[in-house]
Amino acid sequence: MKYVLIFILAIYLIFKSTPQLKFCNIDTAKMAIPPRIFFDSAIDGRAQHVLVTRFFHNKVGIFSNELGRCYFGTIEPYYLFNTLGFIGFAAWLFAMFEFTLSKRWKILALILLLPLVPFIQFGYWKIIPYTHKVISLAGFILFMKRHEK
Amino acid sequence: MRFPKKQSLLLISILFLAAVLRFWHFSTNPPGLYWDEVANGYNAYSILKTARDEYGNFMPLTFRAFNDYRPALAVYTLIPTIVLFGLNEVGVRFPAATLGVITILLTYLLVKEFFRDEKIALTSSLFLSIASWHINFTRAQFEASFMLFFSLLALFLFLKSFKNFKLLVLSSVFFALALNSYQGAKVWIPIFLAAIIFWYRKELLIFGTKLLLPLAILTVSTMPIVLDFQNSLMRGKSVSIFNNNKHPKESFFSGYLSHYSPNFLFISGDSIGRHNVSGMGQLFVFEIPLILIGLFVLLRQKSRTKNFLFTWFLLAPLPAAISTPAPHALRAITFLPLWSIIGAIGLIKLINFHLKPAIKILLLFLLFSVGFYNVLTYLHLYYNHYPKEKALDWQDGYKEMVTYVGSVQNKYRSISITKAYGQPYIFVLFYLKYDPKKYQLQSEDKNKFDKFNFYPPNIDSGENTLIITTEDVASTHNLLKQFKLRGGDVVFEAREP
Repeated sequence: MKYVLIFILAIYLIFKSTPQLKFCNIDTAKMAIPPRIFFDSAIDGRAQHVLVTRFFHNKVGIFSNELGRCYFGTIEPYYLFNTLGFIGFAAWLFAMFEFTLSKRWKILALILLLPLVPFIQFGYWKIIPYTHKVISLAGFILFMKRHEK
Repeated sequence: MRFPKKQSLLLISILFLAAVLRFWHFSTNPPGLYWDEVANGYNAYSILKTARDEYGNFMPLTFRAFNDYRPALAVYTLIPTIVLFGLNEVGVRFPAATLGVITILLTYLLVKEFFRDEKIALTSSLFLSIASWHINFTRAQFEASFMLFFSLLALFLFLKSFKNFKLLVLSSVFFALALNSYQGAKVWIPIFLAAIIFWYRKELLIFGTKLLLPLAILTVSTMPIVLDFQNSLMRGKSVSIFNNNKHPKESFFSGYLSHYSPNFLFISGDSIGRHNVSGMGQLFVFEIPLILIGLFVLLRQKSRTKNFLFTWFLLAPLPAAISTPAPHALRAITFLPLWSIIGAIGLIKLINFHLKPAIKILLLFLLFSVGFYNVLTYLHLYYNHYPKEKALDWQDGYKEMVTYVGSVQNKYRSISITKAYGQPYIFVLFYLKYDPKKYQLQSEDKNKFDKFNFYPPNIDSGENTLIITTEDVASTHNLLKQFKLRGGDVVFEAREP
C-alpha cells in the first residue's frame, strides 16, 4: 500500500506544472547596484560624510541583498506550494526536518547551495523545481518509513 | 515577584533601550500624522470637550470616522495624553509608544512563564526591543499595537490564573479590551482564545461553573460589534479576499504563505510605505540562523508550551491572509513576539552548542557583528531615509499647510483645499483645533464646513478666496506659498485667484 502511495505522489509531482521563477542571476544583481547606490547616496545628501554613506550603502551590501532576493525566491513557501501541491509541500518540510534531525549535513548543504548554481549561470533554472520534487518525494518516503515503525 | 539583582539591571537596560527607540523624536519621525492618527486624535478631543464624537454620537462604542466604524479603545486611550500634551503628535503617539515599551516587559514575563528560563526571557525581550517590526508600529498610533499589548497582558494573566480565579477574570477583561482595540482583533482574538482554551482546557475546567463570569465578560465585550453589526463589518468587507474575488482559495493560500516568505521576512518587508523602511525585511538578517535553530529546537520539544506556541505560529497570519493586500505586516502583528522568542531560543541553544571554544567565539563574533551592522543600518534608514522617502505615505505637509491656513483664514471669505492626498477635512479640524461642538452640527457633509471647501467637488475660485492645490506649474492663480515634503518635493501650493 505504501508503495502505491509513493508511486501516486511521484506521478503527481512529475506531472504537476511548475510555476516560472523570476528571472534572476548574477547579472541582474550587478545591474541593480548603480541605481540603488545613486538613490541611497542622494537621500543621504552631501552633508553626510562619504565614509558613513559607503558604510551603509555599498556594493557588497546591495549585491548580498539582491543575491538573497534571488535565492529566497527559490524557496518561497507559495512557490513550493504551487510546485509541489499541499501534500508535496508538507513532505518537503518534513524532509528538511528529518535531514536536520538525523544530521545529514551534506544533503542539507547540497540542497541549500543548489539555488546558487543557476544564479551563477552554471545550470538551468529547471534544476530548482525538480530538486524540490525529489526532496518532497524523499520526505514522503521518510514519513512512511517512520510511521511503519 | 522578586527579580535577582543582575537580571533586574539587564531588564531595566532593555526597557530603557526600548523606550529610547520608541520615544526618540517620535513626534517628527514618522514624518507627519497620517489620517487614522488624526481622526482618532480629533475624535478623542471631541469626546474630551463634548463627550460626543465628530458626528455628535454620545460616548460611542465604535467610531464612525471615515465610515469605517473603528473600535473605540484606541480613541479613548488618547484622552488622558491629549489632556497632558495637547492635541498634537505627542498627545496622539504617546500611548502607543508607552504600551510598546510595556509589551517588552510582558514578553519577558510571558517567556519566563513558558520556559522558566531567565536567559531566553531576557534575550526575547532584547530582540523585541530592537525589532523593526515592533518599533515601526509603536512609534505611531497604530491600533494593532494596542491589540498586541492587551492580548499579551491577557495571556500572561491567564497563565498565572490557574490557582487564582480573580486573575482569570482580569484576563477576560483584557481580552475584552483587546477585542475592541483594532479591526483585525475581531478575527484574531477569537482564534487566539480558541487556541488558548484548547491547550489549557484541563486547567480551565477545574473552575467549573465559575467560568460563567469570564464568559459573560467576553460576551458583553462583543456588544459594540453585535449592536452595530452591519457597520462593524464594513471595513472587513472592504478588504476581504471574499469580496468580488473569483479565486478566494488561491488568494487565501497565497496570502497565508506570503507571511512565511523569506523575502518578506528578511529582504524586502511589507511594501506599504508606512509599515517598513525600504531595503530591509521585517526581521534582521542575523536572525536567520537563530530562527532556524530555534524552530528546530522548539519542534523537537515534547511539551504543551511547544504545542501552544506552534499553534500560535501557524494561526498568526490568518487575519492578514483573509484580507488584501498580503503580506501585511500590520495585520500580521499577531506574530509578535513569537519571532523574538524563537530567535532567543536559537541564540541560547547556539551558545550552549558543544563546539570548540575558538569556533564558538568566532561564530558568535560573526553573529554579533552582522547583528550590530543590521541594527545600525536599520537606525540609519529609519532616521535618515524614512522621513524623506515615506513622507507622502505619512501625509507630511498637512500640518504646515493647515497651520498657514489658520494664520491667514481671517483674510478670506472662502478656502478651498484639494482632496488629492485624502481626507483634508480631518487635518483642518485637528491642526486648527476646531471647536467640536460647532463641527458636530455640520459633520455630515465632508465636502465643506464653515468657510472651508474640499474639492472635488467644491472649489470656490471667486473673489477673496484662497485655494490650496497640489503643485501646478500651469496655474494662472497667484502663488503665495509652497509646502514641501521632507525630501523637498512640493506637496501643496497656496494660491489666490
